[in-house]
Amino acid sequence: MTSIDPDYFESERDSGSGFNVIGTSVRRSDARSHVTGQTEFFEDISPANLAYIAIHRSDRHHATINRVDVAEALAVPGVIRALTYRDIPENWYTVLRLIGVEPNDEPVLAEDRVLYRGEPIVAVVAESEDAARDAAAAVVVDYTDLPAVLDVEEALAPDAPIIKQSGTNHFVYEGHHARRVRLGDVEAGFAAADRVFEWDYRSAPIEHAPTETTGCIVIPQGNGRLQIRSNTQAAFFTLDNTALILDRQFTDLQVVGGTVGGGFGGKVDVIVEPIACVAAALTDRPVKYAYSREDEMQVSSTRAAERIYIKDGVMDDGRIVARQITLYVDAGAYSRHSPYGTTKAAAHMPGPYTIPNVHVDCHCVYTNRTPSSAMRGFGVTIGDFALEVADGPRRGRDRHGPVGAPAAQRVPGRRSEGTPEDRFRHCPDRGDPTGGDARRSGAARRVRVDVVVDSEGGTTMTLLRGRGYAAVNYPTGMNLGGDPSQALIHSTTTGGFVVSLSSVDLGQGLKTVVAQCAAETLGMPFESVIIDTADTDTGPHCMGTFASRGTHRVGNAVIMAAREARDVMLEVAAEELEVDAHDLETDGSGDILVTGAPEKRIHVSDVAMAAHFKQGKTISGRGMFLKQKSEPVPETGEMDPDSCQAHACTVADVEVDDETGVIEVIALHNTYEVGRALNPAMAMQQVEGGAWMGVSHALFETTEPYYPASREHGPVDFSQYLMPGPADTPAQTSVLLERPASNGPYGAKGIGEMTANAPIPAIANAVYDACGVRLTTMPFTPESVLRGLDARREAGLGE
Amino acid sequence: MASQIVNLTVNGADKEFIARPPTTLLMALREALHLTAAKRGCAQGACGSCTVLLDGEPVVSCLVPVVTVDGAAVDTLEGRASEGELNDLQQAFVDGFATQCGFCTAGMIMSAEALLARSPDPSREEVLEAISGNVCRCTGYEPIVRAILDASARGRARTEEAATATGGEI
Ligand code: FES
Ligand code: FES
Repeated sequence: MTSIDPDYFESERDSGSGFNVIGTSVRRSDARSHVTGQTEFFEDISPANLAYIAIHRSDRHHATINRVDVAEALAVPGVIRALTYRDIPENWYTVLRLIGVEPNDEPVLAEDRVLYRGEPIVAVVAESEDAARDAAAAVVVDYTDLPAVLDVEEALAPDAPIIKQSGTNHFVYEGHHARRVRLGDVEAGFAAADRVFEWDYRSAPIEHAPTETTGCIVIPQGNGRLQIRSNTQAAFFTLDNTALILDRQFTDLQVVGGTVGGGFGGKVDVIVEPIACVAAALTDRPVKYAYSREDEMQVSSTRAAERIYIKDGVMDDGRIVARQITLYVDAGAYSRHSPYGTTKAAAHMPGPYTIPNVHVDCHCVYTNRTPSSAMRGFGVTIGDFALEVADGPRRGRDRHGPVGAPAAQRVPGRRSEGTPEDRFRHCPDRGDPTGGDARRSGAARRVRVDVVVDSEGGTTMTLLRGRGYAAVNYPTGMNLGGDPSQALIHSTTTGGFVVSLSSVDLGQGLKTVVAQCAAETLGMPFESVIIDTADTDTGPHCMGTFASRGTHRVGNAVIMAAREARDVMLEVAAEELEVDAHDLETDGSGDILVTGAPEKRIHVSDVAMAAHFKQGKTISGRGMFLKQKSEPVPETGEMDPDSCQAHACTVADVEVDDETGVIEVIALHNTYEVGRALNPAMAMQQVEGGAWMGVSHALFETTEPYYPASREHGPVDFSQYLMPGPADTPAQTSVLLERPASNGPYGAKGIGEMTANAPIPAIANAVYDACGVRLTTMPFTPESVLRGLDARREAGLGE
Repeated sequence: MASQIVNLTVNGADKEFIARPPTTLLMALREALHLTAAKRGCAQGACGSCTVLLDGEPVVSCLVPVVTVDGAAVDTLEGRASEGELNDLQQAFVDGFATQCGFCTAGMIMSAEALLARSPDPSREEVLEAISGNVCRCTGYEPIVRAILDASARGRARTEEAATATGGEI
């Protein structure tokens, strides 16, 4: 099957409320093993004779490599060998080549040039992690520095140092050029507009910061095969790319994944597995390559920094009649997922609005920075921020007048109630026994707060209250690649069902919801279905878990497989009961019964036994969901970027302290249109956890060096990479709206990513509401609020 | 430095093993004793996913050199369920959907365990304080906070039930 007509899932979508298990908040199937500590993450396996990898990385932004000397590294006790690019069979790759986008532009290990600080050059294999680390530090590289470009607009200047072999810092690649949108006549639109607004928006790079760092253990199987135990989000991306890099048959590799300690897009790139595989093959030993927290913070992909210029032509009645957008995505040194993200941004930038004249140009630009890649909200988060902030103040433009905030909104001298202190709980020097200077540099924000906390814990600050609103939409899936997923299902002789997938559960609960889909379609109890995920030997092909595609794509494939298995099951039952299969139904109890004569029934376990031992049939099914691949029209950018769009709206209530600039998000009110909530409690988990992440992105997160001028030092751990702690978490009220999607499993849409998007502009708009400061750069630091307040005072607008 | 023999009482059972001085309690639990519930999220003391109880007190086991705690009692998540029955915290985490990826869960439950041991009826603020060193990137914390408060309520309800059953004497 190559395409699905819109009504293919009609029966599931429209069967209303008569569901057995869909729409019920069954407990997560993995919760018990999580709370007993039995869930096995990749690092929990300990093969005998394990060797460890550490990497010597570039300390230059851009340089030629003259010589690499590993003699001292090899002399470190416990070192087994050192790998350079010469040991990698096919050294150049890119993750998305499998779906025909993006050129092979990244070396597994650097050859004669490095393009970013942290680029891997030598991989050292040793008997212990310590020995590997010591040896990696002992590698000597002789460089000649080259001019570096660390800014997207500088990179496009005519005299910029060119860092790519292709001769341009601008991403250009055949067949992949949808980074523009042309609708109507934008110049005519501006001419007709009553007013024209122009703003620009910026965001800093953000780290995924999963609690479990990226890594894998590769175990030679003794028959030439390598088993890769990985926390990848995409088992087949890993398998396919690793096989190509190793220049081996795909059947030489097996990827086993399926437990991931948080992904958020950061575990889609195939970075650790190829090196570990080469090391395992060359040493014939199990090898582990896991990022340290510092690696994770400094060299794993980031969410791209973006810069967005928006010009809007608006009529006095509020209609936007022309919108021009120029957007720059900082891809860093290599492609990874950024060109795709840029395409997605372009498709998204017209926004959820009807604007007659739109002109969008999105530029994916290479710089000498850490490569950026996929992250929750892929290609869309920063665009949503810009679109909704651009719109927010305009909608409320008369609200403010010239002064900071209406008197009624002020809460002068509110006692601190722990607020400023709690906010910084994750700053350094809180019970941190190893806290050195580096760790303390993250405390800059804290200092501002300390100066206004008086000796009794009260404050002198004035808190200004505001409320802001933002609405966003999010495309489910990744249509440029057709976005296929497959599922297999078979019954056991005891009447259970095993669903085999190569998809990965990232913690969002994929295994639970697809088990619900299978049970519902089969008409069997939820407990009778088990899900075997993320094993490329047993599970059929799947793109992976990203782009909010898991529930939608995999759920559909599972329904299709379950339908097929159900047909066989009823056929066998019909023969046993001596009735026509069409006269049979299931009631979710495990029985198959004759319609209208419910006393005539047979249990599924008897059916399974009959199939196996008497009738010689297999109760099995297979499912394949493939969306027609969308090719963008180069001239207009027209494309079909998704299967369906989910919608969300967040209202944020904030307090802004006019002394310190600190923003506190008091409450978020989320409304999410999710198609159908297959498991409402888990959908709510997504909404509230994602909204928390949105708050975190809005207020705290950046991997920018703390001293940007030196470009020397970014965060190395959680005490420097600020995220809200438990006490900083705003109260949330959330509502799920259901409007079943035409082609979703039981009408569900993908919602994992958009949950982080709406809170960001909602908070910025709330700050504007509170004090008239428009925040256009993420994160919204206290400094930026104070600068805004100062500017207002200088302009005679403040108090 | 030479290797040393270390004795620990882990989840109530005596364990003896050999460790080299840089070995942390986390490494010893995971590698020597094959107790892998406690996780390495950072090995820098900053994420709390390796939290275990050391003589009843919550510690980040990645920062504790194991040779310095010879003779101590260590409790990990593996020891919490008894005969397959989840304890109140574990059950409250399951019922309250307080886990997503589950990587922070062991550390969260152990931090909460220590809190409930010293303060069976904690205020919300005490709960926030108790888990303030534990990073969770998935849940937004609120379900975890609710689960801990729920576990404390379950504990109280049981105590009251026991009191009723024994005619008021606990
Ligand atoms: S691993 Fe110990 S605190 Fe992070
Ligand atoms: S559940 Fe994933 S880190 Fe807490």
